[in-house]
Amino acid sequence: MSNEIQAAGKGLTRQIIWRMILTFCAALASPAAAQDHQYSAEQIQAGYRIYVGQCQLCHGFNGDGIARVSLSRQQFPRAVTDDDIRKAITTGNPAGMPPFALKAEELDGLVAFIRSGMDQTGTGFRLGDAVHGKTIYQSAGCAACHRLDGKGPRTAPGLDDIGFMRRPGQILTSLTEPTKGTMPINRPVTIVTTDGRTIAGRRFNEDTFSVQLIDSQENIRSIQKSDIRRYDVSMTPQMPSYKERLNEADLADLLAYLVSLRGK
Amino acid sequence: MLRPISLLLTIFALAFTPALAQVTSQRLERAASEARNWMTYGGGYDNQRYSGLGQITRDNVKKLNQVWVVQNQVPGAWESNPLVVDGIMYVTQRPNDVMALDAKTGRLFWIYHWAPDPGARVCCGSNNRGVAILGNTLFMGTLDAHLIAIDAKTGKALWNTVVGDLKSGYSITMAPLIVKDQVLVGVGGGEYGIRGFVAAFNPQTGKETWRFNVVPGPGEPGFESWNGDDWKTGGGSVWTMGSYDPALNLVYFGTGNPGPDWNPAQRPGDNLYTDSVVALDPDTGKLKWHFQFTPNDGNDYDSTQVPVLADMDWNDKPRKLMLFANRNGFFYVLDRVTGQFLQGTPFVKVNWASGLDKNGRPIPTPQPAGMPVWPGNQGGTNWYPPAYSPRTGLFYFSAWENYATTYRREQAVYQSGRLFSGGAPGGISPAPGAPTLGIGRRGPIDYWTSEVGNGATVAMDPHTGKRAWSFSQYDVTDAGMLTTATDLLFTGGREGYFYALDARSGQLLWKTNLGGSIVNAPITYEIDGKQYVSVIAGNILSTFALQD
Repeated sequence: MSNEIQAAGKGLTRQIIWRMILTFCAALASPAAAQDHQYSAEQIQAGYRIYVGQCQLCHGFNGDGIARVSLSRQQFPRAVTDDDIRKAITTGNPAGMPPFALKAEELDGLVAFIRSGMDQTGTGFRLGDAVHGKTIYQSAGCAACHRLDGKGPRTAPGLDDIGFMRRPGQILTSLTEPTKGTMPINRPVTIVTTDGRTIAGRRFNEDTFSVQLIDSQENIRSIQKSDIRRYDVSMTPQMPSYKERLNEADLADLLAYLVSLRGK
Repeated sequence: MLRPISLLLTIFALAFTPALAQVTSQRLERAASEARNWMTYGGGYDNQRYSGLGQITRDNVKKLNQVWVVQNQVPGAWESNPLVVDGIMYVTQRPNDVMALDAKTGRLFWIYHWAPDPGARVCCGSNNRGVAILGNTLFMGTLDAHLIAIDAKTGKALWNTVVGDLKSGYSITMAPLIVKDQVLVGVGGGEYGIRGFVAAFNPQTGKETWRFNVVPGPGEPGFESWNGDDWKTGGGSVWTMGSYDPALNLVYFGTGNPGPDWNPAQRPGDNLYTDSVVALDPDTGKLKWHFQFTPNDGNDYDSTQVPVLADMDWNDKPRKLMLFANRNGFFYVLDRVTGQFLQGTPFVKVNWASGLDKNGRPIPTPQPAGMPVWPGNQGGTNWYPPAYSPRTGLFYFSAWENYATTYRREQAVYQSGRLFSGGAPGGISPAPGAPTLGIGRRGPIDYWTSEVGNGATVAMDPHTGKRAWSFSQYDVTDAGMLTTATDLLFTGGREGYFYALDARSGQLLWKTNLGGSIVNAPITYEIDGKQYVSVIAGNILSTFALQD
């Protein structure tokens, strides 16, 4: 047992060294993509409290109180990196934002809260190397079910704008606990119509009288509930959990890649 | 010689032509019996939203046709409640515009525009729920807590009074209430540590005549229900319409949550008169009685539903009652003369209390930290106005079912004008361990599905406290109610459907897809012998009548 652990430890050391080299190389090529950031639940929650007290008055409950700025969706006039956000907070700007004198850990909290997509539930997450994350996306099999850049099936939710539509914490939960993280509308459904046809698919929308979906042959359909004999919604998504399939670093890299997908 | 007489006759004729009659306070007291008009928020001071009009029936309702549409030029939920007086409709749009239009054709006469101070703070959007009318004057409260009188014929402002300090988080979203010769209005700001109040104003001058503080100060009754200085930031907003009983000379208002919203441990005591209904003397503003639904509330159960006044036999004796479906999940019947609790029953799943004692006080069952509380933060029902039909004896309202919220509760630090919430809802959660979900689902796509709750139109039998029927909707609903002398019930929901149901059975008789959320209640009126039904859905105000 101990040998195995040692071996694993050596492997891990090698991996870390390689990663440092890769990270260094990537850093030269793309400084933003190479940042490895851990945002803890404690930081996000602390940031939320500071936000309510100091920022919400102007930036609003959803972070969209100032024109052309959406803090929850990472839309800033200038800031790109976390340090840019820190600087924007501490120096203010001529457009009317005053400078805020905050301690380093308070700034860390605010940055974490903003980067979390203003996640009041405070789900901690780590963003690794998005460039490496793209290779994980291919090797882990994501592309077998999800559509991206015009390739792949449409039966699972497309991921072109996943980093814009969902918070990092939500994407992480979908990767590690898909049953918990799946949006209810994305649960697999099976419908048997009154004329005996069986339709399996994924919903787009539903109301009192009808359901809109894409079926397993990629037809988009709107079905009246009065035409449905049996309607099953599965609580078990087809997506497997990547909690054990990927190590922590690869998961952080994949998450960074998915977060970087913000639509065309 | 004949000239002066004919002039006199002309003056006499003009003065008594109904179409030109002024909206006097006497006329407002009889508003419910003047079915061709919709002169107060709820169609009458009892807020029954019951119309005596009967041209549209259960048999012909399928022939309803859209006759005109007005499009709102402003984004955001359109929560306004139109008034119709002698063929003219008065309706507000965000943030504080008033429009006068021909209720027969939808053509506009004028728009009055007020730009509220950008410093105005509102928790939940730049909402306004409408105007009140007295004489030839309209009255509107504004987001920056002004009360403005507007000439109903020209749309020009007559006076403009500051009601509350916007920098401290005071705002007005409710439509004012005319009682006799006064304009009554309350303030919002329950998430900003305000000290809520209702105030009365002179309609000619805008001068304040009295003020009732929802949170009592030192020396006032109820002050003992607060600890230390907590009362100074105790909340107790008043943001929906009150009711008025002219015979009893009492005016009734539901009151909002205590502050900070989600941390009751920070403000020990019952926190009177938050989450209550208060009965006031409209001449003086003095408190006559109160009933508190949710003492020391920690779940934001504002009791700002519109109080519905109804007279009916109770235990075989005629009684003056108040019907009240509360955000906290219980339906209440009160004696509106004394405030006595007569009955209270849960109408949705409730786990914050195990029930009510004989006085109507809840038996609290606080849930462990982070566990779901039923009903959730938006309540079993909310501000959307209910209806009562004296014909069916049923009380109609929108309910949110199978819906819970988890909370984070923490110490709040008061800073003037800033959020004073004591934590936050942690999302909607239908069951422990289920996904934590946001509430932002006002768009046309229901990503969250019925897993986090669904809506229902509920017909409550006040005598039993049980549902006579309910009409389920897949998405939740913020729609108010309208019922008629032909036993129709008009309502809608977030999905954009506008419904006519059989008020006796709940059977769906007619529906149309208006494509946007219905977030207040329909109204009905009559012009030149034709009955119209108007409803706001999304960004349109749509009016229907029977096909010729």
